[in-house]
Order: sequence, then C-alpha cells, then structure tokens
Amino acid sequence: MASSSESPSPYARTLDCVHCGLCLPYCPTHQVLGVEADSPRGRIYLMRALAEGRVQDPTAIRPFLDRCLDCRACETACPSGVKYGEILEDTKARLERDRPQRGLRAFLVRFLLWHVVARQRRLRVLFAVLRLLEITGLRWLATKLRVVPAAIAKLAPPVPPAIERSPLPTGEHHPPATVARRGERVALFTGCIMEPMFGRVHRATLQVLLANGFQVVVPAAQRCCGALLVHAGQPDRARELARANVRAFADVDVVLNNSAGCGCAMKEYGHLLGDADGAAFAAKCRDISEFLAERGLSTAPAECRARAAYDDPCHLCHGQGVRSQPRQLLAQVPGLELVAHDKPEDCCGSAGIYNLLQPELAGEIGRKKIESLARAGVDLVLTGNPGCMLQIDSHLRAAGHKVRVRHPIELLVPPQ
Amino acid sequence: MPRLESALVRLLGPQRVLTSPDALLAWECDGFTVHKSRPRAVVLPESTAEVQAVVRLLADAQVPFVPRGAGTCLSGGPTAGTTAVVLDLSRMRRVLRIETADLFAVVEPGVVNADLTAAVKHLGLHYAPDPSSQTVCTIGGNFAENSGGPHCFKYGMTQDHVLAALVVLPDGSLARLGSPAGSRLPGSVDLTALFCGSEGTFGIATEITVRLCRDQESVRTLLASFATMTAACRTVGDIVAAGLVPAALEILDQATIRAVEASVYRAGYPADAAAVLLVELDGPTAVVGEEAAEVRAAFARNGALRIEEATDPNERKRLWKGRKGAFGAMGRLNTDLYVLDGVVPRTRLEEALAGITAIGAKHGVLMTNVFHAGDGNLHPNISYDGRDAAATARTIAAGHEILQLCVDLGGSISGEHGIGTEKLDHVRMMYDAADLAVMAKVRAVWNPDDRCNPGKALPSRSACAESAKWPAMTARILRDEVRP
Amino acid sequence: MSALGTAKTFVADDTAAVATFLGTRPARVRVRSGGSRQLRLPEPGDATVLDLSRLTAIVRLDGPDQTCTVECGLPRADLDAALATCGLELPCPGGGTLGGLFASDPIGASTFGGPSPRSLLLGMDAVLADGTPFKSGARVVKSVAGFDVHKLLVGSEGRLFVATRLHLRLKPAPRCVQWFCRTGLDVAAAIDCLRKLQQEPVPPAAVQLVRAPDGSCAVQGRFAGRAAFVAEMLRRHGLPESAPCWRDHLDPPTHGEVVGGATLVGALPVLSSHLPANASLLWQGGGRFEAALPDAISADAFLHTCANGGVSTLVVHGAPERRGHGTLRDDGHQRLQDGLRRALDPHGILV
Repeated sequence: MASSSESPSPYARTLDCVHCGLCLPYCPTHQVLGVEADSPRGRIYLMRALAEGRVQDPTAIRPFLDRCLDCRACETACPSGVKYGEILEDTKARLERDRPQRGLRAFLVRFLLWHVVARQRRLRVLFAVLRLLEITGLRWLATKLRVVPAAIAKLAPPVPPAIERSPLPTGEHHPPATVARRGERVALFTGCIMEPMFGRVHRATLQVLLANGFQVVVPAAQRCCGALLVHAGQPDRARELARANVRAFADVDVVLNNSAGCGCAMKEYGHLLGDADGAAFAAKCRDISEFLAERGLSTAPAECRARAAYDDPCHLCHGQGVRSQPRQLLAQVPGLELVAHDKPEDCCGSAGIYNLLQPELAGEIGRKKIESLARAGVDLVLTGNPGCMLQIDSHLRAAGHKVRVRHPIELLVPPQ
Repeated sequence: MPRLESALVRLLGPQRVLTSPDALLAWECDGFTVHKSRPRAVVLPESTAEVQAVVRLLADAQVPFVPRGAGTCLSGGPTAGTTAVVLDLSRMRRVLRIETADLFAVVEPGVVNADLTAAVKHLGLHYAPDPSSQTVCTIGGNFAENSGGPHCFKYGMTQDHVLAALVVLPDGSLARLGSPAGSRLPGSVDLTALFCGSEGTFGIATEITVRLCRDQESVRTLLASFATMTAACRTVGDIVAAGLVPAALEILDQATIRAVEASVYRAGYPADAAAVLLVELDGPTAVVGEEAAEVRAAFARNGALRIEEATDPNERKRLWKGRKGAFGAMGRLNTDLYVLDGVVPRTRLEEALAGITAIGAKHGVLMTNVFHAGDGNLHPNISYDGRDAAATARTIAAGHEILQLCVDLGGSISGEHGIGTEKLDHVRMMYDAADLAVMAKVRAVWNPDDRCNPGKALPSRSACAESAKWPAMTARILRDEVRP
Repeated sequence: MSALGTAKTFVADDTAAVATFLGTRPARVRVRSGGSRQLRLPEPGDATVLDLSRLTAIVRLDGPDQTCTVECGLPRADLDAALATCGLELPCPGGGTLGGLFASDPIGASTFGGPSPRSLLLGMDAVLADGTPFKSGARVVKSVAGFDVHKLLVGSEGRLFVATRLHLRLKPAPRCVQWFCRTGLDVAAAIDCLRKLQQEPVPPAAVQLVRAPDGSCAVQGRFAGRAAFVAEMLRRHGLPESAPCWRDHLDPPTHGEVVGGATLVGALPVLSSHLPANASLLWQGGGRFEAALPDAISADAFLHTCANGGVSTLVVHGAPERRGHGTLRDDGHQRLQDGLRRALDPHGILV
C-alpha cells in the first residue's frame, strides 16, 4: 500500500508504541476531553488499525485525528521514541488522498491554504482588504450579520496598518559600518502570516542580526514552508513549496527562522521530500534563538523593564528541542525579570489554523494557558511563533488582561 | 441506533456516548496488548448520579459493563467483552476535599495519581502509593487493582492508603465503605480492603477517601552499580538485615539500563554495569544521614563499582527518571512488550533471577528485568514481535514457566498488576477449586449476576465466549510449545 | 467466661481436626482460642465451643524475609519472644492469642496511619462453616492474586469462617524505644498535643489519649527509631519520659457500658463534649476509641449523638443483649455485610 516516496510506512512506526500511556497527561486534547481516542496513544492505535485494514469507515476516526493539534508534546513524553508527527501527517495524507473531505468548509480550507496563504502577493492583498473592512467598520457589520462566527470575530486581532505589513526588502543586507563583522552570511525565511501580522518581528530579526555583525540575505524566490498543507493532508502541494525553498536557499549555509512552526516543518524537509536535498536543506535550518545563543550576542540588547514569562511554542520545544536558548538570550536583556509559570510547554491551542477549525477546543486549551500566565502575574509574555502570539494575545484580551505579547527577538534589539 | 444506545445518549448526550465501531477500537486493550476485544459502547459519565443512572440502565437491559480509568493496567483488567459497555471514568477527575489537619483527601476515581500529590504539594503533603505510571494512572484504577509501586516497601500498597469509598453496585444502588477514621467500621469487617484489588468486579467506586502523608524532612537517593546481579541482590539482603527500612529498593538489569539510556528517560546509569540498585531513604535529616552511611557500607561490602547520591530534588528526579520510564523504553527493543509480575520471598531473589534467565534462554526470548527488590516483586519483561505467532507463543510459554517458578519458591503470580484476563490460567497455580469457590461466593455478594467486569480476576466455568478466548489461546499455545 | 464454662467444647489439634469437626454439621459453633475476648461477644447460648487454644505452633519464621506463619491459638507473648531473638516485631497492639487478636481487632493501629492487624495479615488457611478447608492470600509481602478473603477475618469475630493459620508481615524492631506520658492536661491541651504529633512526618510509634472520670487527660505512648531522633522528638513536644505505659482497653466498669468506635482527632473535641462528666475515654492513635459510661441510658444518648455526628459506634461491653447495639451503618454496607455472612455461612452455624 505504501508508495515509494512514503516509506517507511506509518504502520511500521506505530509499532514502536507499546501502549504505556505516558503521553496522555501531556496531550492538550486528552486533558480537556478525557477521551482515549483523543489521546496520542488512542490516535496511534486507530492509525495502526487503519493501516491493518481493521477500520471499516475511515471517516469515523477522522474527527479524532482532526482534533489533534500536532503539538508533539507526546513525542517529548514518549519513552519509546515514537515519531507521532510523522505518523499523523502520513496518515492524514493517505486519508485525504483516498477520501478527500467534502463540503464547503473543507473546500474553503483547501482553497485558502493553496491559493492564498501559499502565495504571498495574494495574502498581502487579502490583508489589505481586511484592514479596509476594519477601518470602514464593515468587520463589525459582518460580525453582526453572522457572516463571521462570533467566537472567531471576538478573538481575531485587528490587522496592523500598512506600514507594519510592508514586506522586508529582499536581497542582501550588510551590517552597519559601526559594527564588528563576523564574516558569516545567513538567510532569513519570512513565511506567510508573519509578514502581514508581525512585520515588526521580521524587522527586529533583521536589525538584531545586522547589529550582531551578520550579513543577511532575504531570498526573493522563497515560498511558504508548507506546514499547514502537510497538516491538512496535502503533502504533494507542500513538496512543491519545499522544493522551491530548497532552490531559493541553495547558496547559503544557514537558514534562519523566527517562526517555530515553519522552522519545525523545514527541519523535516528530509522526511517530506524523502531525498538527500531535503535532508541537506533541513540540516541548514536553525531557529533564530538557537542560532544566536550558539554564536553569542556581540551587541547588548536595550533595557526592558518588565516581569515576563517565556512560553515555549510546541514546534520549538517538542518539535525542535529548543528550550534553553531563548531563555538564555532573554536573560541578557537588562531589566527583564523572567519568571516561571506552570506548564510552559503545554500547547496554547493555536496550532496553525487549528483555532479556526476547532474553535471551542482551542478556546478551552487557550484559557488554560491564560490561567497559568495570570497566576504568574506577568505583564509581558514572550513566545516565538506567530500563531501562538495571536492566540495568547487574543485570549489575554478576551479575559481582560492588560498583558503584552512579544516575540523574544523583539527584546534583543540594541538601544537606538 | 439500538434502544440501549439511544437511552444512553438521552442520558449523557451524544458527545459522551461513543458507539462507532471504528472509534471503539481505541478502547480495545490496556497495557496488556496481547488480548484485544472491542467493547459495544463507551460512555463518559461525570458524576456519581450519572454512573448510577448508566448502571441502572445496563442492569435493566442485563448488559455487562466494565469500569475504566487511564487504561494503564497491565493485566487486561479494563478490556471489555464485545457485548459490554465501558464506563470510562477519565472525566470524573475532581479533588472533592482536602483535610490538612486529619490528613486525608476525597477524590473522584478519574483523578490521576500524580495530580493528587501535585494538588497537596504546597501543604507539605503527598499521596504515597506511586506506581511507575503515576503520571497517567488514576486513583480509581489504583483502588480497583490495589496498585503498588517502588515505595511500597516502606509505605504499603494502595490498600493501606484507602480509608473509605462510595461505591455504585452492579444493580445501581450505593454503598459507603469505611470512613476517614478507618477503612473498617467498628463492629464490621473491612469492606474497603476487600473491594481494593477486586479488579473492578465488585462495583464502581465514584468517591475515594485516601490517606495523605506528610513530606519527610529529608530524602536521599543512592544509586550503586554492580558487576553481577548477585552482588546487587545480596546488598539488598544486607540492607534489610541491618534493620533499615528504605522508602524504596529497586534493581534494574543491564538490558534495562541500556534501553533506558537510549530513551528520553536517560538517567545517566552506567551502561557497563550488570545491575544498578536504587535505594531511597527518607526521614529526619540526622537519621537519613546515619542510614545513608550504613547503605554505603553495604554497597562497599558487596563490591559496588560506582556510587552516586542525589540530595537535591532535581538530581533525585534524574535518578528516578530511568526507573519510572523503564517500561515504555522497552518499546525500543521490539514491537511488543509482555510485562510480567511475580513475587518471591526476598531471600529467594537470586535463585529466582537465575531461574528466570534460564527460562528465557530455553525459550530464546529477549528478556529484561527491573524489579522492586525490597518486596521480592519481579518484573521480567519480554520484548517480542506480536506479528510473529511463534515468537508470541514462546513469550507466553516463558511467562507461564516464570510464574510457576515464583509459586514454587513460595511466592505469588502477581504483586501489583492483578489477574485481569492475563493470568486467569495461572490462578490455579496458587489456589485450588475450594479457594476459588470461596472467592466466587464473595464476589457474588457484590456482583450476583456477574455483569460487572465479567471474566476477570477469577477463572470461571461459565465465562462468556470472548473472555474465555484468551485463556483458551494460552492453553493452546502452552500445549503446542511444550510439545517437543 | 461463665457462659462458656458450661458449654460443650471441641478441642482441635490442627486444621484437619477443625474441618472434620465442622464436617459433622454441628448446629451452632462458637470459635474460641484464648477466650480473653469472649465477654465482648453476645452469649453463645447452646453453641458448641470450637477451642483452638492447642493450635500454638510457629509454623515458619523467616527472619530475613520478615514474614512468619503461625497457628491461631498461639499466644502473642510467645510470638513476641520468638521474634525478639531475630530482631523483629509484630508492630500492632493487642494481646491474647493471634487468632483472637486478628478476628476481633479491638484496637486497630496504635498511631496515626500506623500498621493495623489488617495491614499485617498476608494470608491464611481457614475452614468454612460446612467443613471445607480453603486458603487466601500468600506468604509473601505483596500479592494481588485473588480476592483478599483473608482480610475479612479482621473484625469478623470468627463468624464468617474459622481461620487456623495466619501468614504475617513483620518489621525490624526499632533500635531505641522511649515511652512518654504527659499527664494533667485538660481536653483541649491534650488534643492540641495530639494535633502536633499527628503532623510529624514520623509520628510516635504509639500514642493514646486517656481521659480519667475526673476529666483530666493524659497523652502517652512511645517514640521508636534512632536514639538521637527519639530524644529530639521528646524534646520538641515537651513529653516527659516514662516507664512503659499503654492501655489496650478501659477497665470494664462494674456497672454501666463501654462504647467503642472510631474517629479522627478532628472530631475528638465534639466527641468528648458529649461525654458525661464522669465518663472515661481511651482514644488510640489509629482512631479507635472506647468510652465507659455509667449506665445504658447515658450510653444510648452518647450513641445517638455520635450517630448524628457521623461517628460510627457500638456497645462493646455491657449486658449480653446490648452488645453490638448502636452501630451507625450505611444501608448498602449493611446489605453487603449480611450478604457475606449468608454466602460464607448460609446456615448461620458460626455464632
């Protein structure tokens, strides 16, 4: 049943699971729902049964797989080293190939992912329209008319003004003359949603890299990382994007990411493409915090007086094993008091477009995160993934907390 | 939808009644994956009243049912027959009451063992029984199975920590067992202790009152590695003979150490040692200091290769990490794992381990040993490929012989995992027909028509078809395997 | 023991003899080993006494394994002497024979959360009322195979089956023991002292509260462990050293009744406030208590108050027809207890 590009079969990898259940308490959906089939152990069992041909109607197990956030917390907890993410993504791809999901919603998701999100120019246009709607008050009207579900409308953040949405200039960027050069050239990946929603993070990233003496290239030919397509069970389209990225970054040795989700996906190009090019590309990828912690900061960050919590994005801590590096960098920010909060590695419920597809469950998971942050009594939350930033920010706002959410790189910018 | 299912949906709503046969596959087994059976339905009650209502419906329909917690049981306890409905209690997870002065807590059955300790930690208290699956397993499941754990040697089993319970009987009526002042009411027998370890065949506990323990002033964890298993076992004997009562005395063999060290639970155990012995001492600081010196002396007398000691909580956590993750880490050795559980008198440990090694060699199975040495509670683990029928048969045959060895040495076929369906065939190694008849009489008082977790814990003549399948399979395998 | 003096008696020498005797289908049987607790049971009437006092063997004593097997008629003092030679002890209070101690369990544990006879009983050999021998449990310290029928012996008063041999768990004898006794306290001060001892991570090995009829209270017991620890605990709690002092029971009053029950320290203030001024009280650290009341009327009033407060009590010493009276019990619990008796002794032979 396995096609050549997809070996080893997900079935073989489900066999690593001995059903011990140590993953259960780490699974956000199991914590909320308490349902075996909504736990990693249960999902692996269902996927194994599917591969064994014991599932009569695959659509019956689909909801359990769709409710998975793909946060990979279970991989961190697993003593047997089960590669849950790979099993899930392969299984979803097979399901989508054999029985594509029908209905308007499934169509819309597929359409948006491929025809808008994966195309940066169209995405820019979309955000310009959204901004216009907001300015003219039409968003309010659309919510009132129930064109947009109330829950989403309430949580959706305002679109930033055009100046913040403007893309980073592509091509080469050189450190200012006042800075000692390190003689290392790195490439910056800009992704999809980060640019229109968090253009300031890209600018901060560029600024920090240049201030620390690195030469930075922003390749014009780069494309979306494809993670959302992989999660939606469309690996073929994701592969198309991945190949474009492999080409776009061919002439650099280091590809930097400030979005944990994209970074994780790109580190898994080896598995996605199943070839040496993919693996070689993956080996070049670094999260910005990972890279900077390794090289060390040569220019001190500006002072920031705040009581802050660092919340681990799932695709950084579980997906890439990056935990200490962001904390280590933040510890160098003068004036910053970094406090510990409960379960920083628990998912916030963002998970790509999960909060749009499973709003209720994502809301429940988000509320738990906010409770933990509220208990810590912080006035600043730091996290390195755009989805997490949006989710945490919107839940903080919804709960009436006046707490800012920032990307850690924003605090590493030197004094002006 | 059949009438019963519709009635259940009316009672709990469609979200908390699962009937799709494909989805139900997820409830096919617990940690004992050799025996699988798909239930008729799964329901997720959230209160005593809901459990009662569901059980009444099932009583009216004469349908069997099975209570289930986190499904970490290792003997098939919560595996349901195809006609049975599973009451999954995972959503009953509130801590109802914490009494700091009188040191007890009242919890719902779905409360995770480690979560209870987390809930009372700030009060300087903890819940003592700590099965290796404590981060996952539920107090309800622990109560049903009389679960043990590494700290049993000093602190006793679950039975010694449950004071009272509110139980829904198989006819839907309620009974209150014990009281916070003691599991046995004056002028009565100890129904709480009897229920504990009944493997879900007596009813469903929906509120459980457990003892809380004060945290000790000081905890020290020592780890010693040895060149031979014999030396490790003798050290345990020396420590106990000196009159010390450590909180835990655990041994891991070389194969286990290597599997653990390859996993995320790596603890820095020396990979070249034949055995490591983990000793935990707790108590007043001065006392623990003296005891640690005596333990170190025992290590030295028995030629320990390397000694490590943890005094701070992080170091202690690291030394324990490998032990607690050992079972899952075996997944690295092969696709399937058969976790055995047998007890021998502590003084016969060396003999038992030698015998177990010989049995493993005879059947050509890959075996690892990790065990509660203080209690003589062995856990030989056989890693095998369940898709290979011959390998499975060899595994089961080796398991059978190991349990017989434990009984022959004066021990038991289970120290903490229970009989479930796994050991229905082995019970007769310990008990004859008269013993089993008495146990069946006792069960019938609680569960007269045997609808509550049928086919578990006791071999039964009239077992329903699906629960009889597994013992029949064992019997066939044993016959074929024993045949030259 | 006058009631038993006139009864027919069958003296058994071993388990087989017990089985043979019960196999003759006697109409009614009262089990007795040492006989010291018979006065706490209802009158046996015309029952034949099954005397186990000659079953006195220590069948097996495995020092290094810290377990032993004894016959039910073995006097506790004999076992203690044998255990002392190998540095072990049976860490629960109570005297008489081991069969009687386990079947009646009148004291429970001697300290907060301490070991009770139930927790030390690993298994048994026994005979059903119809003469069928059976066993339950195991010899080893840990076994979850089968249902724990042997735990039903504890508190059964010999009315479910006749146990003949017990497998027991032993513990190392402590290196140092020091008794303490703090007298002249009022109830509040005594309870305050207990509260503090209860919160110790290592509580005393035994502790009890004794209220004399004049209302003055004593907290007494012993600490066990290493010498430095024992000394430190006595100092910390201001407990004066004393000679061994421990009471298993209140002295049976010449007239009046003894009510037994179980309660936590938290309920002690209320409980003692409901006792008549001249009543004495003995509260054991494991939660069991006895209160001696001057007459049946005040005993009934006390039982009633306890029942309303959710404290389980019953008359343990009094006129034969009053013994066992007053227990607060849940309906479901009562049904199960009656059901067990019917299941194991359907003809009601064991009385």
